[in-house]
Amino acid sequence: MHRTLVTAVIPVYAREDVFGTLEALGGFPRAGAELRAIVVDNGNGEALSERLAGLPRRHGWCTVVRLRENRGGAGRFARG
Amino acid sequence: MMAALRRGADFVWLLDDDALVNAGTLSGLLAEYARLGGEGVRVGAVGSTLLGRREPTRVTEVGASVSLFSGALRLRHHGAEIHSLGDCTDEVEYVAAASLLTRARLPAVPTRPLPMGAWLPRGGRALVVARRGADAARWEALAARQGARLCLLACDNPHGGRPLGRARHLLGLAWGHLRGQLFLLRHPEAPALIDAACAKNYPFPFLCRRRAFWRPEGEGAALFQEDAAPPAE
Repeated sequence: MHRTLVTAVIPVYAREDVFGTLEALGGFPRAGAELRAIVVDNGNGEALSERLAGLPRRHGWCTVVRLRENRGGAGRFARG
Repeated sequence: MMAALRRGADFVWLLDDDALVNAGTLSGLLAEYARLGGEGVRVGAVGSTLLGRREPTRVTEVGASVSLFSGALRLRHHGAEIHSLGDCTDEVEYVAAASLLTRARLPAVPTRPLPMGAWLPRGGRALVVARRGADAARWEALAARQGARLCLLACDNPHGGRPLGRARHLLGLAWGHLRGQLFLLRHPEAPALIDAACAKNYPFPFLCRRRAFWRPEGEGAALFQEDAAPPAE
């Protein structure tokens, strides 16, 4: 049986709150759906990037992508 | 979102990085999507209600769903459907996209005209440019039946169009009166009117979407043609 896959896309703009958001998401029941998350690192500082890069180790359902460039919607993503 | 599509997502849930979701948020969004789908609404997106952090009982931004093809909004406030932000009893500022669920792959563009009810939902507000006579009368009857506020620009011949200056003036009046949705049905000056409205900063919901769809070819053109088809009873 196909399980609905919901992917949360969370752009991060230098907010510490995203860590709490992910903690909450990981702890909640998922309404019969499979939940994954893609955290978009917008490059707001190396310290934040380093912390974000550590998220998949803590939350296996979470992936971090880093926005390398964003010119008129032609952004390219690389796995962080 | 491209990364989500590559990974085979059924739904994409856009979340602000400072959004604190509660346990029922995702199930509520999925349930609302399913409920509207059951009513025959082609859902474009469903957004959560947002509460204030400092005052968690106060709604700061209402929940809403968006119809994919008509662009119609359905607003929800404390769980009940409302017809405008003015119906809110607390300090609601706008409709939020801080927690927004949408299908990763949207359904195909329909090939037949949508029913009139899909264009003008119950309690909705719209500016319609239609032919004087039967078309206009049908819109007025529908608006009366559905409790909708309608500003009808009735032209003798929309294909021939009315002088653009006059139409722009009416557009301004309609915005002042309605602040609702804009439909331009089979109006040859639609692109020019949309440009005029944008230049005057009339933020009609989905105006820019319609503008984006105004292309001479491709899927967007097909969708605009669908939008421009005469409504079916």
